Amino acid sequence: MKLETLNLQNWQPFLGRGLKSTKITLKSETGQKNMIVYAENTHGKTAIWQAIQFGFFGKVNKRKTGWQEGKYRPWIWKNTSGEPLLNQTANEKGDYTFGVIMTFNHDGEDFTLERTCGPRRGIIKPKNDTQMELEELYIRNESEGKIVKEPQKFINDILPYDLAQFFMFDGERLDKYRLLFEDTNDVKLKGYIEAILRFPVLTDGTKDFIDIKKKSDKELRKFRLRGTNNDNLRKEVEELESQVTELDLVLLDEQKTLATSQANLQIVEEWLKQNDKGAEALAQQKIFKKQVKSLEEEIVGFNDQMKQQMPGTWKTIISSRINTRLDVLDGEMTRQFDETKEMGVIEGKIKSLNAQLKGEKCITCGHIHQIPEPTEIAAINRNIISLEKKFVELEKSTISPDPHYLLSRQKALRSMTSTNKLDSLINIEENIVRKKQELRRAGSNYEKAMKLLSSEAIREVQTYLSQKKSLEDEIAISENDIIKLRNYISSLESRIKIKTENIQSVNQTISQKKCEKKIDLLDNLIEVWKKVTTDHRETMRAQVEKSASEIFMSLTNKKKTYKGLRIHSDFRVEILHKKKSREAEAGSGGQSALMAYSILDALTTSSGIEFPMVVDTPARSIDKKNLNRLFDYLFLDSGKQVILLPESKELEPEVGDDKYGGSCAATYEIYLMGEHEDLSQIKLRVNNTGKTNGELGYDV
Amino acid sequence: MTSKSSVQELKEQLLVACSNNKILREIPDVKIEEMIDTLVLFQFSEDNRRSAQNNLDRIINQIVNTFFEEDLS
Repeated sequence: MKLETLNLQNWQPFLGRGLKSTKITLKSETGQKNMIVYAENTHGKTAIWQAIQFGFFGKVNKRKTGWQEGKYRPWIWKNTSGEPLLNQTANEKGDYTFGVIMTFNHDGEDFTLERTCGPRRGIIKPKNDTQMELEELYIRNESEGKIVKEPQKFINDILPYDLAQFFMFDGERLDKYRLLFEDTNDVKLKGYIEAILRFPVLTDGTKDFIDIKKKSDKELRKFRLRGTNNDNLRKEVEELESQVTELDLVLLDEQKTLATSQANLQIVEEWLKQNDKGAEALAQQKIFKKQVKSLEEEIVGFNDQMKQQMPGTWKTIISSRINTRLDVLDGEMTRQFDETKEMGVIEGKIKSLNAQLKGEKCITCGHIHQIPEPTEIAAINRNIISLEKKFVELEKSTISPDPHYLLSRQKALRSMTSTNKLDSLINIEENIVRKKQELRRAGSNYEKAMKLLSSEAIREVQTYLSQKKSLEDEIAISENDIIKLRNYISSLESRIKIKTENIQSVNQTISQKKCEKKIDLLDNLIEVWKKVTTDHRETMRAQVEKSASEIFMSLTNKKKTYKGLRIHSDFRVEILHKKKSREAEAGSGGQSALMAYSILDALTTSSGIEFPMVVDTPARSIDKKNLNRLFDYLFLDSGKQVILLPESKELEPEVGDDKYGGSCAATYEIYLMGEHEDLSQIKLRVNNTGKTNGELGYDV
Repeated sequence: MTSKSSVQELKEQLLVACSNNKILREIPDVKIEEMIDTLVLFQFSEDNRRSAQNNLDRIINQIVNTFFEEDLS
């Protein structure tokens, strides 16, 4: 799409409509398509940016928040403090109609768009927005001479509202884009990037094929059931099918509820982000949540350790007693062992003395004993009696207590011993207590931080925070219900499948065969779409990275330092250093602003969407050298239609006209009208339109 | 910038993947492109995918019918 003319009717500081409206032309008979509108701050630059936003999408954000959902600027207000869209002087003069008329060329055809707002029927002097109404958007295809039937859908097909932020942006807010590219948790932005790179064509397409296949499966089951005589089976399957149908409807309702809660949550989160106090509270909450989460995880870890050791805890506690008993038992058993050994020695001695008495062979050395003298015999006998007495005593002692009993007790006691040390259990317990204290402290710090906010602010913030909390709870419940429902539906479907897959139709109809073929095709389409999803993601990431790197390197003044940009699979962006030893970085303010321009340009180019790049205050945080390169790129190399709205400190009108006037259909400058600080008028500077200034409605 | 747009890239990848699939290679490229165009057109549709699915269903039915007509002839 190329914007050709913009006509402002009682629009913000530009008074007048009809013949007296403010006309801006971007159409040139010699091919130039760009435009520069120079203006000092508060003269009406942003009003032009917003006129384009209003024309295409019918709303203008209250603050300069770009494209965030939230509060919008009022149509009418009692004075200029409310920043109404209706020109205040027109309001005072009793002319309450305002709007924008644009002409553009899309796909070779010319269109006229009109979006007008005025008093409701019957209201003579409207005082607020409820007494005003936005007329239906009107778009006429001038090439075909036809009115476009669904005008807003027509615009959304050219450029959906959510993606417009990549084409129309405010240099002052470039930092926001840089931060978004760094914040990989920003699901919304990731969604937009995926949308601009057409990932939903694959992901939604896969879901669509699955849904169609589900219907075809059902149709095929009907065909199969028609071919069976088993009435019970038919009834049973029909009953299951009707349950699935009902549950599908419940699931749909639940999904709608979830989508509504998610959308509401986005609005609440956006408010909290935009509101200073809210942002502060949100940041505190984020830190607190992070702390609590990590502390809770640590506590769970310690509890797990404790749990693992708990079954042995009682053993640890009584281990000293068990060990004492074991020592006693070990002593007893050692005694019995020693005594048994001693018994063996005594037995040997008795045998040797008996051999001596009988004059037999020595049992240890084998020599023949001499028969002892009678006196010696008495001594030997006494010795034997004493040894036998000792042996009997030892024999009694070795079985008291019963060695088997001792052994079994030893076994039992050993099984009760633990390798756990009481110290380690105490350590874990102490850690848990410490972490719980830290958790309480984190909670109370958060409470204290919240109390520092003013009571009025806190009330508002708290309302939003409590809304946030309840929406998060609702979302969690919905998500859980959806999972349960899906599982249940899937189990019913499996039952239906099992019951019907073995029904053999004797005579298959053409329709049944076609249905089977369709399912076959859908199975394969699902497989291919899923496979390409992964490949396409990587191809597009690499393409955007290459393209953005080239643009960045052509813009940066640090060509010796940097070698390009790296875009990760989650679209996190970094600037790469030439020196391998230096790690990639987010970049300074100026460099990261160039990075944001490079990514935005690469994304919009890759999107294949043709739409003007409309940039308000383009140069915030970019130094002069880089800025010149940026303007050179935008006007001379980007190939896009560029509408630039700079302040003179960003681009002096004389310099801009001299360097880029040749690439523009026209350049303009906004002035304040004499003493009226809230009325502006626009003057033509460079005119390459092929028409005279008079023909364009400007003083010659 | 001479790089392809994401839609062009997507079409090429899907056409190649379909031509490598035993079943889908029978489908004419023009029909695959028609399905992709439908998905591109309805990417931002807010009617819960109903229109996109109806259009896809119609295209797939046409493909199936063509297969059977060819078989009969």
